[in-house]
Amino acid sequence: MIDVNGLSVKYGDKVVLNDVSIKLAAGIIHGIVGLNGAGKTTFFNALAKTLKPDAGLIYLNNAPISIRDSAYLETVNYFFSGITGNEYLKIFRQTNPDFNQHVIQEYFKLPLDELIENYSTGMKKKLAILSVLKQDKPLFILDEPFNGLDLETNKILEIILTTLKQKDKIILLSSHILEPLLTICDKIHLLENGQFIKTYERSDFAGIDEALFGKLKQDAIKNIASAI
Amino acid sequence: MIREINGLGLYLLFFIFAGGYLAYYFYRQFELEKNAMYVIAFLAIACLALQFQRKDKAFIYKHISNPYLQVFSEYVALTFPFAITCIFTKSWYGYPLLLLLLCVIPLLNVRLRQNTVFKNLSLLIPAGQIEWISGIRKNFITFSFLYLAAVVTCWIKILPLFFLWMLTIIITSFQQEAEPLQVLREGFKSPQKFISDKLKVNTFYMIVLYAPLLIVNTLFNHDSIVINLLFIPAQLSVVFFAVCFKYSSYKPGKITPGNNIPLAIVSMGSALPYLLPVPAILSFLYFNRAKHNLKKYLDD
Repeated sequence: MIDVNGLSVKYGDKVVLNDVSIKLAAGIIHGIVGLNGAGKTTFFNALAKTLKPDAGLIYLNNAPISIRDSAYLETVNYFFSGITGNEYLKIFRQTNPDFNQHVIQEYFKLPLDELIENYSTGMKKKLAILSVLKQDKPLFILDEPFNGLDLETNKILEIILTTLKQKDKIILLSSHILEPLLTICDKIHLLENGQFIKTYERSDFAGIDEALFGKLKQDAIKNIASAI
Repeated sequence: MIREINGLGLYLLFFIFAGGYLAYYFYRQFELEKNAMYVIAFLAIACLALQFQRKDKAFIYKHISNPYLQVFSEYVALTFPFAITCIFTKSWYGYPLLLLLLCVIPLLNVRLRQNTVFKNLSLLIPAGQIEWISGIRKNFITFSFLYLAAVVTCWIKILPLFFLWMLTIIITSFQQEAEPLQVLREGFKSPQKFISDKLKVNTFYMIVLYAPLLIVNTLFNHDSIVINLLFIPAQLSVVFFAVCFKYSSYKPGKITPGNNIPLAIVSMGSALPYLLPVPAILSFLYFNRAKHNLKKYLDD
């Protein structure tokens, strides 16, 4: 269980996360949604300890969260230039005893002997996913994991996430497209203006679209129809 | 260039001092007409090495309206303090000659094909040393040429040291790219242990590469023993500086095409007897700065 208490993050004068408190249970896939600038990535960065919050505490199973606790798949996957996929994967020690690269590779079909800079966006994402899966962590944070992936790999990723869930991991996902989250998540937390304003259970997912886009759709239908 | 200079902060004073001394040293060489051409060649080769190594070439040649003029003027500005004194000496013609050479360098917008060479390099160098794997792979032509040149000339006085010194410049360029945070955190080391391990690895590889050649060189040139003994520590201090400098401003995923000015000055410093302590002092100062900066990413 992750317990976030009074988390606040500011960039200069701009408050990005404002006194956020939330509990995130294990064995559940949590979706984090919000419009651009809502603070999703900042929230993830705070959990992964890649930034220092201005206030607040984050606990994992009643102990302060550590940099060792999370496997973090960032939105943009940056790799060191001039190394191959195989070399990148070798950097990470395999702490997940069940991880079998060859099995996943049969589905990902990555050219692991080639330089990473020659990879497509989707291939880079798959490589980053492989490196994340190699690690046995209680918390998996995946920021926009579906970006750039083809339909088949999207489905594979869903299977991977479900397997992690069955292993009682805490899984946090974000996506700028709502649909994959509606399929895979058990709970979706709506982040708005730096605060979680509502948590939707699976049975309430139908209301998310309206909550996020209700007003936008009303205006847009009228305005766009007259503009094109 | 302005951004790089601003980023130096108070350490700029050190570079001004080192640069000032270097300019004075070169002036003395220009006065000796026979040495002037060596200095001009040295400056031109330094700019050439810089041109091959810089990571912003693709951006400049694609987006700047007159890239050749831009790159040329950068090298003129960089060499100006060191070369301008030439025109006040008997070797005045050296400066126009340097400008002529600098005119050619921007035309060398070499972009090697992204072929994967040495696919099994990680069998020789552990995958954790990505700087060395990536650096050797990206610079394998220059790297091999310089090392082979040093091997072939290892019995000649001073000359192999010049090639190895050039090789050190290539090795320092391995440190221009910041690794992703996940890679930095692999192993969960403290900042001090992390940087110390990096320095140990670099020391190991440089001793393996340089020591045999220097031993052979000393056997053939007994009177060069002091220079040869000092050579490895001098080159190590430059690489140490490059490592510490990189981590003193490390940000995840940040590509640091910069570092060129301080590294160029420190590299030159390692070749001049009276400037030898400068890279070592700067390495120590930047070691502390790097430790402090890495605390943000490695400390819980």
